[in-house]
Amino acid sequence: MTKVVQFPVNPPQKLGPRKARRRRRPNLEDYGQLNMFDQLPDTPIVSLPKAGSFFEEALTLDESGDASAEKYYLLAIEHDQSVEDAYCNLGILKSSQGDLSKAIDYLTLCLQKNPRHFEAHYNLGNVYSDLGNLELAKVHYELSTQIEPSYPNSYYNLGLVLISLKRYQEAIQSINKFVELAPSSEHQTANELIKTLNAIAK
Amino acid sequence: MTKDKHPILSEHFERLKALMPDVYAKHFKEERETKNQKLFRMLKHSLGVIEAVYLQNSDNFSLSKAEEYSKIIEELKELGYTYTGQPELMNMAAKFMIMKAKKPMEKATGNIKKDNQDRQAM
Repeated sequence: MTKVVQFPVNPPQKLGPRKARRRRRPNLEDYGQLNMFDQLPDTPIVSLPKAGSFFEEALTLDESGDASAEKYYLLAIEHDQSVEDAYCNLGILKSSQGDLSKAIDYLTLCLQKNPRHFEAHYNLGNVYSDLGNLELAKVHYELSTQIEPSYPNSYYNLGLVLISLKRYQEAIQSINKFVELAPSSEHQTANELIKTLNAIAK
Repeated sequence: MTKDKHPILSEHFERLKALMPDVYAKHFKEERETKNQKLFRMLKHSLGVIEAVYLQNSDNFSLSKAEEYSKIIEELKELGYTYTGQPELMNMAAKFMIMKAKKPMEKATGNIKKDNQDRQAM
Protein backbone atom coordinates (compact mmCIF):
# COMPACT_ATOMS: atom_id res chain seq x y z
CA MET A 1 0.00 0.00 0.00
CA THR A 2 1.24 3.28 -0.94
CA LYS A 3 1.28 6.13 1.48
CA VAL A 4 0.08 9.44 0.25
CA VAL A 5 2.33 12.06 1.52
CA GLN A 6 0.74 15.46 1.83
CA PHE A 7 2.71 17.99 -0.11
CA PRO A 8 3.20 21.08 1.94
CA VAL A 9 1.34 23.92 0.27
CA ASN A 10 2.02 27.46 1.40
CA PRO A 11 -1.03 29.65 1.09
CA PRO A 12 -0.40 32.31 -1.49
CA GLN A 13 0.69 35.56 -0.04
CA LYS A 14 -1.98 38.17 -0.49
CA LEU A 15 -0.79 41.11 -2.47
CA GLY A 16 -2.47 44.27 -1.48
CA PRO A 17 -1.95 47.72 -0.11
CA ARG A 18 1.07 48.25 2.01
CA LYS A 19 1.16 50.69 4.82
CA ALA A 20 3.89 53.23 4.95
CA ARG A 21 5.91 52.78 8.05
CA ARG A 22 8.03 55.25 9.84
CA ARG A 23 11.56 54.47 9.03
CA ARG A 24 14.39 55.15 11.30
CA ARG A 25 16.32 58.06 9.97
CA PRO A 26 19.77 57.05 8.97
CA ASN A 27 22.52 58.63 10.96
CA LEU A 28 24.44 60.48 8.30
CA GLU A 29 27.52 60.51 10.45
CA ASP A 30 27.64 56.68 10.12
CA TYR A 31 28.31 57.32 6.45
CA GLY A 32 31.05 59.84 7.14
CA GLN A 33 28.87 62.89 6.58
CA LEU A 34 28.41 65.84 8.85
CA ASN A 35 24.86 65.81 10.17
CA MET A 36 23.61 69.38 9.99
CA PHE A 37 19.89 68.71 10.42
CA ASP A 38 19.54 67.05 13.81
CA GLN A 39 19.19 70.31 15.68
CA LEU A 40 17.43 73.27 14.13
CA PRO A 41 19.12 76.56 14.78
CA ASP A 42 17.32 78.92 17.21
CA THR A 43 15.97 81.36 14.66
CA PRO A 44 12.66 83.17 15.05
CA ILE A 45 10.00 82.38 12.51
CA VAL A 46 9.11 85.60 10.77
CA SER A 47 6.12 85.80 8.51
CA LEU A 48 7.31 87.08 5.21
CA PRO A 49 5.56 90.13 3.84
CA LYS A 50 2.83 89.44 1.31
CA ALA A 51 3.40 92.66 -0.59
CA GLY A 52 7.02 91.98 -1.45
CA SER A 53 8.82 94.06 1.16
CA PHE A 54 8.24 94.94 4.79
CA PHE A 55 7.79 98.58 3.83
CA GLU A 56 5.13 97.84 1.21
CA GLU A 57 3.35 95.54 3.65
CA ALA A 58 3.47 98.27 6.32
CA LEU A 59 2.08 100.81 3.87
CA THR A 60 -0.78 98.48 2.88
CA LEU A 61 -1.60 97.84 6.56
CA ASP A 62 -1.29 101.54 7.35
CA GLU A 63 -3.72 102.45 4.57
CA SER A 64 -6.27 100.01 5.99
CA GLY A 65 -5.78 101.39 9.52
CA ASP A 66 -4.21 98.19 10.86
CA ALA A 67 -2.22 98.77 14.07
CA SER A 68 0.40 96.19 13.08
CA ALA A 69 1.68 98.64 10.45
CA GLU A 70 4.02 100.05 13.08
CA LYS A 71 5.67 96.65 13.57
CA TYR A 72 6.25 96.29 9.82
CA TYR A 73 7.69 99.80 9.50
CA LEU A 74 10.16 98.88 12.25
CA LEU A 75 10.99 95.63 10.39
CA ALA A 76 11.50 97.65 7.21
CA ILE A 77 14.02 99.84 9.04
CA GLU A 78 15.74 96.75 10.47
CA HIS A 79 16.00 95.26 6.97
CA ASP A 80 17.14 98.52 5.40
CA GLN A 81 14.04 98.91 3.21
CA SER A 82 12.93 102.50 2.46
CA VAL A 83 14.31 103.52 5.85
CA GLU A 84 13.67 107.26 5.58
CA ASP A 85 10.08 106.76 4.39
CA ALA A 86 9.46 104.22 7.16
CA TYR A 87 10.65 106.75 9.77
CA CYS A 88 8.45 109.41 8.19
CA ASN A 89 5.34 107.23 8.31
CA LEU A 90 6.11 106.12 11.86
CA GLY A 91 6.10 109.83 12.71
CA ILE A 92 2.59 110.15 11.26
CA LEU A 93 1.43 107.09 13.20
CA LYS A 94 2.78 108.48 16.47
CA SER A 95 1.21 111.86 15.80
CA SER A 96 -2.19 110.25 15.24
CA GLN A 97 -1.72 108.42 18.56
CA GLY A 98 -1.14 111.79 20.25
CA ASP A 99 2.51 111.06 21.03
CA LEU A 100 3.85 114.25 19.47
CA SER A 101 7.35 114.07 20.98
CA LYS A 102 7.87 110.57 19.53
CA ALA A 103 6.44 111.84 16.22
CA ILE A 104 9.10 114.56 16.15
CA ASP A 105 11.74 111.97 17.04
CA TYR A 106 10.83 109.74 14.05
CA LEU A 107 10.44 112.64 11.63
CA THR A 108 13.83 114.06 12.56
CA LEU A 109 15.38 110.59 12.21
CA CYS A 110 13.98 110.64 8.70
CA LEU A 111 15.61 114.02 8.08
CA GLN A 112 18.87 112.66 9.47
CA LYS A 113 18.79 110.08 6.67
CA ASN A 114 17.59 112.57 4.07
CA PRO A 115 17.59 116.26 5.02
CA ARG A 116 15.60 117.07 1.89
CA HIS A 117 12.74 114.65 2.58
CA PHE A 118 9.82 116.92 1.73
CA GLU A 119 7.06 114.85 3.40
CA ALA A 120 9.05 114.88 6.67
CA HIS A 121 9.36 118.69 6.56
CA TYR A 122 5.66 119.08 5.73
CA ASN A 123 4.62 116.65 8.49
CA LEU A 124 6.93 118.34 11.00
CA GLY A 125 5.15 121.59 10.11
CA ASN A 126 1.86 119.92 11.07
CA VAL A 127 3.25 118.54 14.34
CA TYR A 128 4.75 121.89 15.37
CA SER A 129 1.51 123.70 14.57
CA ASP A 130 -0.34 121.17 16.74
CA LEU A 131 2.09 122.02 19.52
CA GLY A 132 1.48 125.74 18.99
CA ASN A 133 5.05 126.44 17.86
CA LEU A 134 4.03 128.39 14.78
CA GLU A 135 7.46 129.85 14.01
CA LEU A 136 8.97 126.35 13.69
CA ALA A 137 5.93 125.16 11.75
CA LYS A 138 6.44 128.04 9.32
CA VAL A 139 10.11 127.13 8.77
CA HIS A 140 9.24 123.50 7.95
CA TYR A 141 6.36 124.41 5.62
CA GLU A 142 8.65 126.86 3.81
CA LEU A 143 11.34 124.20 3.44
CA SER A 144 8.71 121.80 2.13
CA THR A 145 7.64 124.33 -0.54
CA GLN A 146 11.27 124.83 -1.57
CA ILE A 147 11.99 121.11 -1.92
CA GLU A 148 8.68 120.24 -3.62
CA PRO A 149 7.28 123.48 -5.13
CA SER A 150 4.41 121.68 -6.87
CA TYR A 151 2.83 120.25 -3.69
CA PRO A 152 -0.20 122.48 -2.92
CA ASN A 153 -0.94 121.53 0.70
CA SER A 154 2.33 123.01 1.99
CA TYR A 155 1.19 126.44 0.72
CA TYR A 156 -2.26 126.08 2.31
CA ASN A 157 -0.92 125.15 5.73
CA LEU A 158 1.76 127.82 5.49
CA GLY A 159 -1.05 130.29 4.73
CA LEU A 160 -2.90 129.26 7.89
CA VAL A 161 0.25 129.69 9.99
CA LEU A 162 0.75 133.16 8.49
CA ILE A 163 -2.87 134.08 9.36
CA SER A 164 -2.24 132.99 12.95
CA LEU A 165 0.91 135.13 12.97
CA LYS A 166 -1.21 138.03 11.61
CA ARG A 167 0.90 138.30 8.46
CA TYR A 168 -2.12 138.60 6.22
CA GLN A 169 -0.50 139.76 2.95
CA GLU A 170 1.93 136.83 2.96
CA ALA A 171 -0.94 134.50 3.87
CA ILE A 172 -2.92 135.72 0.84
CA GLN A 173 0.08 135.03 -1.43
CA SER A 174 0.53 131.54 -0.01
CA ILE A 175 -3.15 130.59 -0.33
CA ASN A 176 -3.25 132.03 -3.86
CA LYS A 177 -0.36 129.69 -4.71
CA PHE A 178 -2.38 126.81 -3.28
CA VAL A 179 -5.33 127.73 -5.55
CA GLU A 180 -2.95 127.80 -8.51
CA LEU A 181 -1.71 124.26 -7.83
CA ALA A 182 -4.65 122.44 -6.22
CA PRO A 183 -7.48 120.75 -8.13
CA SER A 184 -10.59 122.91 -8.66
CA SER A 185 -12.61 120.86 -6.13
CA GLU A 186 -10.50 122.40 -3.36
CA HIS A 187 -10.76 126.01 -4.52
CA GLN A 188 -13.98 127.05 -2.78
CA THR A 189 -12.76 127.13 0.84
CA ALA A 190 -9.47 128.71 -0.18
CA ASN A 191 -11.20 131.44 -2.19
CA GLU A 192 -13.51 132.26 0.73
CA LEU A 193 -10.47 132.46 2.98
CA ILE A 194 -8.76 134.86 0.55
CA LYS A 195 -11.88 137.08 0.50
CA THR A 196 -11.92 137.27 4.30
CA LEU A 197 -8.19 137.94 4.40
CA ASN A 198 -8.49 140.73 1.84
CA ALA A 199 -11.16 142.34 4.00
CA ILE A 200 -8.97 142.07 7.11
CA ALA A 201 -5.79 143.24 5.38
CA LYS A 202 -7.43 146.45 4.06
CA MET B 1 -45.18 145.00 69.41
CA THR B 2 -42.36 147.42 68.67
CA LYS B 3 -42.55 150.17 66.19
CA ASP B 4 -39.04 150.20 64.67
CA LYS B 5 -39.79 152.39 61.66
CA HIS B 6 -40.33 156.08 61.80
CA PRO B 7 -43.39 156.79 59.66
CA ILE B 8 -42.01 159.97 58.03
CA LEU B 9 -38.59 158.44 57.28
CA SER B 10 -40.16 155.27 56.00
CA GLU B 11 -42.28 157.26 53.59
CA HIS B 12 -39.22 159.21 52.47
CA PHE B 13 -37.25 156.05 51.70
CA GLU B 14 -40.16 154.52 49.85
CA ARG B 15 -40.21 157.59 47.61
CA LEU B 16 -36.46 157.31 47.04
CA LYS B 17 -36.81 153.64 46.14
CA ALA B 18 -39.39 154.56 43.55
CA LEU B 19 -37.16 157.29 42.14
CA MET B 20 -33.90 155.24 42.03
CA PRO B 21 -34.76 151.57 41.89
CA ASP B 22 -31.24 150.56 40.67
CA VAL B 23 -29.50 152.04 43.69
CA TYR B 24 -31.80 150.28 46.10
CA ALA B 25 -31.64 147.03 44.18
CA LYS B 26 -27.92 146.73 45.07
CA HIS B 27 -28.75 146.44 48.75
CA PHE B 28 -30.92 143.45 48.09
CA LYS B 29 -28.67 141.90 45.46
CA GLU B 30 -28.17 138.59 47.21
CA GLU B 31 -31.89 138.17 47.77
CA ARG B 32 -32.90 139.23 44.29
CA GLU B 33 -30.24 137.26 42.40
CA THR B 34 -31.79 134.54 40.33
CA LYS B 35 -30.40 131.01 40.12
CA ASN B 36 -28.95 131.72 36.67
CA GLN B 37 -27.21 134.84 37.86
CA LYS B 38 -25.69 132.93 40.75
CA LEU B 39 -24.44 130.28 38.34
CA PHE B 40 -23.00 132.96 36.07
CA ARG B 41 -21.20 134.53 39.03
CA MET B 42 -19.76 131.14 40.00
CA LEU B 43 -18.70 130.47 36.42
CA LYS B 44 -16.98 133.84 36.18
CA HIS B 45 -15.14 133.00 39.38
CA SER B 46 -14.04 129.61 37.94
CA LEU B 47 -12.89 131.24 34.70
CA GLY B 48 -10.92 133.69 36.79
CA VAL B 49 -9.17 130.77 38.49
CA ILE B 50 -8.29 129.27 35.07
CA GLU B 51 -6.91 132.63 33.95
CA ALA B 52 -4.81 132.92 37.10
CA VAL B 53 -3.37 129.43 36.52
CA TYR B 54 -2.54 130.42 32.93
CA LEU B 55 -0.86 133.66 33.98
CA GLN B 56 1.21 131.86 36.61
CA ASN B 57 2.52 129.24 34.17
CA SER B 58 1.45 129.48 30.57
CA ASP B 59 3.66 126.53 29.54
CA ASN B 60 1.31 124.12 31.28
CA PHE B 61 -1.56 125.34 29.17
CA SER B 62 -1.98 123.26 26.04
CA LEU B 63 -3.71 124.61 22.95
CA SER B 64 -6.63 122.24 23.39
CA LYS B 65 -7.23 123.60 26.92
CA ALA B 66 -7.26 127.12 25.50
CA GLU B 67 -9.80 126.00 22.94
CA GLU B 68 -12.03 124.56 25.70
CA TYR B 69 -11.77 127.85 27.56
CA SER B 70 -12.81 129.82 24.49
CA LYS B 71 -15.73 127.44 23.90
CA ILE B 72 -17.11 128.24 27.39
CA ILE B 73 -16.95 131.96 26.61
CA GLU B 74 -18.64 131.44 23.23
CA GLU B 75 -21.46 129.52 24.93
CA LEU B 76 -21.84 132.27 27.51
CA LYS B 77 -22.23 134.80 24.70
CA GLU B 78 -24.83 132.60 23.03
CA LEU B 79 -26.76 132.52 26.32
CA GLY B 80 -26.76 136.33 26.41
CA TYR B 81 -24.04 136.91 29.00
CA THR B 82 -21.05 139.13 28.36
CA TYR B 83 -17.61 137.95 29.35
CA THR B 84 -14.62 139.02 27.26
CA GLY B 85 -12.13 136.45 28.53
CA GLN B 86 -8.38 136.62 28.93
CA PRO B 87 -7.02 138.13 25.66
CA GLU B 88 -3.88 135.95 25.44
CA LEU B 89 -5.86 132.78 26.03
CA MET B 90 -8.49 133.83 23.49
CA ASN B 91 -5.75 134.58 20.98
CA MET B 92 -4.14 131.19 21.61
CA ALA B 93 -7.49 129.45 21.11
CA ALA B 94 -8.10 131.37 17.88
CA LYS B 95 -4.72 130.23 16.50
CA PHE B 96 -5.49 126.66 17.45
CA MET B 97 -8.87 126.79 15.73
CA ILE B 98 -7.33 128.24 12.55
CA MET B 99 -4.70 125.50 12.50
CA LYS B 100 -7.35 122.81 12.97
CA ALA B 101 -8.42 123.51 9.39
CA LYS B 102 -5.00 122.51 8.05
CA LYS B 103 -4.46 119.82 5.43
CA PRO B 104 -3.58 116.37 6.79
CA MET B 105 -0.18 114.74 6.97
CA GLU B 106 1.38 113.21 3.88
CA LYS B 107 2.63 109.61 3.89
CA ALA B 108 5.90 108.76 2.20
CA THR B 109 5.29 105.94 -0.27
CA GLY B 110 8.82 104.67 -0.77
CA ASN B 111 10.27 103.91 -4.17
CA ILE B 112 6.88 103.49 -5.82
CA LYS B 113 6.14 107.18 -5.74
CA LYS B 114 9.67 108.20 -6.59
CA ASP B 115 9.57 106.10 -9.76
CA ASN B 116 6.32 107.73 -10.82
CA GLN B 117 7.72 111.16 -10.14
CA ASP B 118 10.70 110.43 -12.38
CA ARG B 119 8.38 109.43 -15.19
CA GLN B 120 6.35 112.62 -14.72
CA ALA B 121 9.48 114.73 -14.85
CA MET B 122 10.43 113.26 -18.24
